[in-house]
Amino acid sequence: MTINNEQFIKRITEQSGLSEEQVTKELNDFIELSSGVMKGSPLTIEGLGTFRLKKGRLSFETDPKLAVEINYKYAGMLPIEVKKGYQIKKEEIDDASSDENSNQENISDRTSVEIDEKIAIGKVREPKKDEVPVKAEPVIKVEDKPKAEVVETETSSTKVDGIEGDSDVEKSVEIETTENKQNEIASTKAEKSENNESKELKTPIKPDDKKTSGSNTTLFALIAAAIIIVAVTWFLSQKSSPVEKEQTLVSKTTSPIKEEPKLIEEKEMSKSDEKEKMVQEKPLKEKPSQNTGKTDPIHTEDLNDISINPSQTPTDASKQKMVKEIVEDLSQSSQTSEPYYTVVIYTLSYQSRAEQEVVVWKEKNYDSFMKSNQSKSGKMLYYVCLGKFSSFPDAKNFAQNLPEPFNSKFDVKRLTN
Amino acid sequence: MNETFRASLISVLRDVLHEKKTVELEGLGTFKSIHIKQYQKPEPDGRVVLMPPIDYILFTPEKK
Repeated sequence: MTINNEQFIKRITEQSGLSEEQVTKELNDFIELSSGVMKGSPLTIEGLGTFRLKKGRLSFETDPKLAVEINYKYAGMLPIEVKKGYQIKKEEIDDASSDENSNQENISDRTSVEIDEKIAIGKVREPKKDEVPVKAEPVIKVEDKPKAEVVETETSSTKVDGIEGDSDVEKSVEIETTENKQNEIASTKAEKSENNESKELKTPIKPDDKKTSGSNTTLFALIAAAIIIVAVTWFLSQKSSPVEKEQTLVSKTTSPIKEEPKLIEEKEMSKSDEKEKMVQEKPLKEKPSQNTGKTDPIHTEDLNDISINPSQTPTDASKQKMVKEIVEDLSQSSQTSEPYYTVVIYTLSYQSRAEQEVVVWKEKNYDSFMKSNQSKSGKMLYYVCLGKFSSFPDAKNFAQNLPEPFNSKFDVKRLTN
Repeated sequence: MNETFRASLISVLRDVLHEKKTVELEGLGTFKSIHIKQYQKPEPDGRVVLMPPIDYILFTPEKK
């Protein structure tokens, strides 16, 4: 959001108390002076900065005081040296590469072990000696051929006329033949895979595909099992909760009679408890010094006698009073409506810190107080102010008599509340 | 320049920049507050220094 000359002039008139005409005149003079830098020497304005010519363009250098006020959030921050551990050195990179090579060797050993285990379990079928090796057939697409065969059989069966029984038999026979062929193809594939695996056992296996796939499958299985368990428990919990509610309702409806004696019993118990308390109270009141060894109940009357907390020091209590006074001043000042001038020495974003500064200046016998202002962006700013004056020069004279560095670093504000 | 005007000009400019708005003065230029995040700066010694964040005023003169 940008602010025009008009809006800027309005704000200055509100703050300074001058008329709009005066402010516009002063602003125009200021603009002319600063633009006149293009011709001659630089222009410095105390508290604002310096206008200069740089590479044929008008440049502005802020006053250090104003720069600090603009950067008030990060004013106390200093550059920090980062520790050496955050730097990645070449030595660490070389060590990492050596570790990867060692891992590859371990992985190759693991694959051979896993396959042997699978053979032992029976997952992978070893090639038997009695089996006749199937001849290597050309590449067959299993999906296409059986479908084609099925279609042909259906057409062939439909072409047969007259004898229905034979057609059915032929259909069954043809289906069996197709199934047998499919089984043969599957068996040939399994045998091929076995042969390949047997060959792979001898050769060193690369760790890229198989090993990771095996481990990944186990991980997925574990994750799936965990998800199933969680779902089952949640489902069971939901089922049990309405059942419990029903049971409670049933219990309430069935036992209305029982509640009455319970209430009576409770009343009796309460009366008895009161009696006990009365009995216990009497001896404590009369003789609080006696310690029978039994654990007597603690009564609030005894605790109220302790008025002073020994942990609190007088300085803490005085500081708490000061803080209360600050809050009261805030409330009172909000009620007044007459304008006045104050000397602002701090503009802070934290209320606690502003309160601390007010306390410090009050101890120095200054009329210090805190003012809050909410900016349009929503941020709260807290001003630490000294004194209330009817005119600007009075405030300025007071500020110039302040100790260093506040006698040069201050601001005078005109406030209405 | 009148002192009251100077003081009020500085305070208003500061307040406006705190609100993260820009001030555009016809015939002069625009004042704007800019934020720079913290960053790591390598030094010739080999050290790495973490520079804190900064808010500062940027002035752009008016084009004529």
